[in-house]
Amino acid sequence: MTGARDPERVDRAQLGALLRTIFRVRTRGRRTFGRGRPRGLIFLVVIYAVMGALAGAIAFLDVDVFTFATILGGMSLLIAGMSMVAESSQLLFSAQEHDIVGHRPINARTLLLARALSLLGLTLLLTLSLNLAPMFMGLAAHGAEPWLPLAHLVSITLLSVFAAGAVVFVYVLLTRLIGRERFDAVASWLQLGVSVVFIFGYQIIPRLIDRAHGFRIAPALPWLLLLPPAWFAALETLLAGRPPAAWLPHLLPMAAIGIGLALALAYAAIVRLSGDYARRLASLSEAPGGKAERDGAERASAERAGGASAEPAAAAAPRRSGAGSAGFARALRTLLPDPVERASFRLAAAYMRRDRDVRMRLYPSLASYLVFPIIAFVDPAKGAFAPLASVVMASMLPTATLMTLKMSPQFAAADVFRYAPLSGTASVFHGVRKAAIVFMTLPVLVISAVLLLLALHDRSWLLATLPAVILMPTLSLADGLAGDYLPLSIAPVTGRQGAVNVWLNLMTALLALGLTVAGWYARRHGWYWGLIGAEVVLVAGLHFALLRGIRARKLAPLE
Amino acid sequence: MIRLENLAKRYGAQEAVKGLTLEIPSGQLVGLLGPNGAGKSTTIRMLTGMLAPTSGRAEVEGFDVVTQPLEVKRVVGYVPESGALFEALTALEYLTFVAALYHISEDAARGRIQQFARFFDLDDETLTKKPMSAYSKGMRQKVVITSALLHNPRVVFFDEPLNGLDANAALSFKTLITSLAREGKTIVYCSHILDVVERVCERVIIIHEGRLVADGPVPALLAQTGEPSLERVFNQLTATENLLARAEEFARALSQ
Repeated sequence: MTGARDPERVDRAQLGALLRTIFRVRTRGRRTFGRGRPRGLIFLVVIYAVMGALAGAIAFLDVDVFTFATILGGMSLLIAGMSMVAESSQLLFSAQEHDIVGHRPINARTLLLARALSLLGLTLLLTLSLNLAPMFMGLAAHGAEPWLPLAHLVSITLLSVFAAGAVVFVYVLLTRLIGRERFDAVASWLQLGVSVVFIFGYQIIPRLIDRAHGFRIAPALPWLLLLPPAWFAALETLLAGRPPAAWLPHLLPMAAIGIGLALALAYAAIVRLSGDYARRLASLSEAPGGKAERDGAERASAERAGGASAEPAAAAAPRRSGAGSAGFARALRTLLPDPVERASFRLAAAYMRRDRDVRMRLYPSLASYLVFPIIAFVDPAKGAFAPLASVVMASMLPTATLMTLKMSPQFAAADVFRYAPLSGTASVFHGVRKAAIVFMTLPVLVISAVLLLLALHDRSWLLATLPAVILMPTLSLADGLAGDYLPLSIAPVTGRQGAVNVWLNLMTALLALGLTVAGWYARRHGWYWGLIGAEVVLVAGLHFALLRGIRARKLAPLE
Repeated sequence: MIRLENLAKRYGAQEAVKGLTLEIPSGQLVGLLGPNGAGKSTTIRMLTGMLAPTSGRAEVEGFDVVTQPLEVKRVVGYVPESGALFEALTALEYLTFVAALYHISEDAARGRIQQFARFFDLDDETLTKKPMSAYSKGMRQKVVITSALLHNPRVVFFDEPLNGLDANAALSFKTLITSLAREGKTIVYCSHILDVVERVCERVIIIHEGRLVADGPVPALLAQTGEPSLERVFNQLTATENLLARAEEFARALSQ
């Protein structure tokens, strides 16, 4: 390769090639022969489009364009934010992809821009799906001009640019401030924090709505200046909302902040911080084995110099690590006598604690399961439905956790389950399921219960939610019937949740909702304990039938 | 003993393996060779019970791979080419986990793991404290090999086992598999490093485009083809024509 290239200029040809390839890799399904189709992504797009159509119905509720756009913008930012939290770390700092492109003559600015744009592209795909119907439904809002769909498109696009720019900026800034060794740990907590901000931030919007005068958010509220969805809603209103003159002093600054920050963050991230990004990428090459090999070599050399044999060290029983103390190990052996189930429990527990990819997919979502109890705690007057919402959300947690634990970049390692003598996946499934319950569901339930007990004086909700709680362990078995469950066995392709899992989540949520309502109703009419008794008998029977069904499934060979 | 009868595997219109028939007696150390995409890994995956054949039969130690896959899996060990591991685990955790899949008790597993750790020179600290994401390729490969032998299988399939191993480890490994074969284990050794195969294996099977093209001891193959080395035998049987001339032409084109 010849020719001097400006190391600071973005190479457009390389940029195009990178964008095409990154998009294909992130969205393509995997097959041994032939091209996979991004079925998971297509399914997500459809789901978001349906959600958007439902949300867009607020346009018919006596709203103005600003209120409409703020609510839709809040939903879009939540979805964009959560999607970016899940994807950004892998997209920006993938060691595997660095092995492929790191030794090619691509400058850091081009590489960073390609990755940032692909992050933006995937996010736009989801937010635009969400806003497809509302773009047109918004025409029913007060003051909407005929070109509102175009204005809405512009505002949602800028919102996505802002979100992507902010995420990339923060990540790359982190590379400047934090050393290589601590980067992963700090980035993990940062992602969790960002998710919490997105989820709780979204909860602010319903509290801004003044129901006394129709269904309105007043642009004059001073702290709307701190709310990103309001900035872009202001822009949309200015473009196509026919705002009253009195609103202009409030809308103009908000719109200016939105546009300014979106562009400024993108510029800062790509132009000013690309050098730091390059240094972080270089450090990716220092990792596997470098330090471990040096340590090993130094130790071996020291032992030879001292005349000591390596044997005594190796002959000593290797110390236990991983799942914990001897007491915990004994308890585990008692509670999980099946060695395969116990091994799978340990595998899942280790990955939930240590693997960055699993943590990034799992922990940010915890915020969404705790949002209602926390809001009830902060604002008890508005927390009346928190127990109902909490139990419905918690019912989906085992299924969501099991799905997350199914995915890993190290999916090839799961072949071990296929050449080990396992007649079926039942023991493996139960081990992972129990780890999901112990380390995710139970803590969420306990924290929710404590917060609600402290927040709400009326404790009758406890009994109302009991029927749903009784069903939860049985609901967690659903994944075991939906095919061969093997942990860490599929590649984390974007949008890969699968129709089955989304339906499972919906079904469990509906069942939990129905049982909680039934519990509340039964309490009011005096047949509560009869309901509980009948449910316990039915659920026990269902539970054992499901266990038998799962155990009867044979592990099918690959086709 | 491994027996294949017209074993075939098709993916849609594509035939990966086309009716392989052969027998490998117990205790034999066999090299399985073929160019990329020849069907070696597919064949091995069928013999380990991971992949269902499209047609034909195969038996490993008397167990049918289709109707008795569990029995097959109990007696085989497999070192896949990918060398993939659950990297968030330490080596000890991973090996203990694998042992549990074969219903080996933790105490028994630890004893065996210690032996392998001594053999491969993996120190205690590395084994128990470091996650395998911090291991070099060679260290990971040692763990993969150990995991394939923990349950004392009667048949072992090695697919590119020397990937990432340094010269000392590779020498140890070659000695190991020769010893394993002497103990009566059947070893199927898949590799592109032909001089190793030539020195270590008592028999070589060459597959090309899913079919068997050569099968026999190395001296017999050399005599049959009139070639001086296994590499040239391989080239004669599997390469496209005028390979050397084409390579020279390509190198000239690059420098223009």
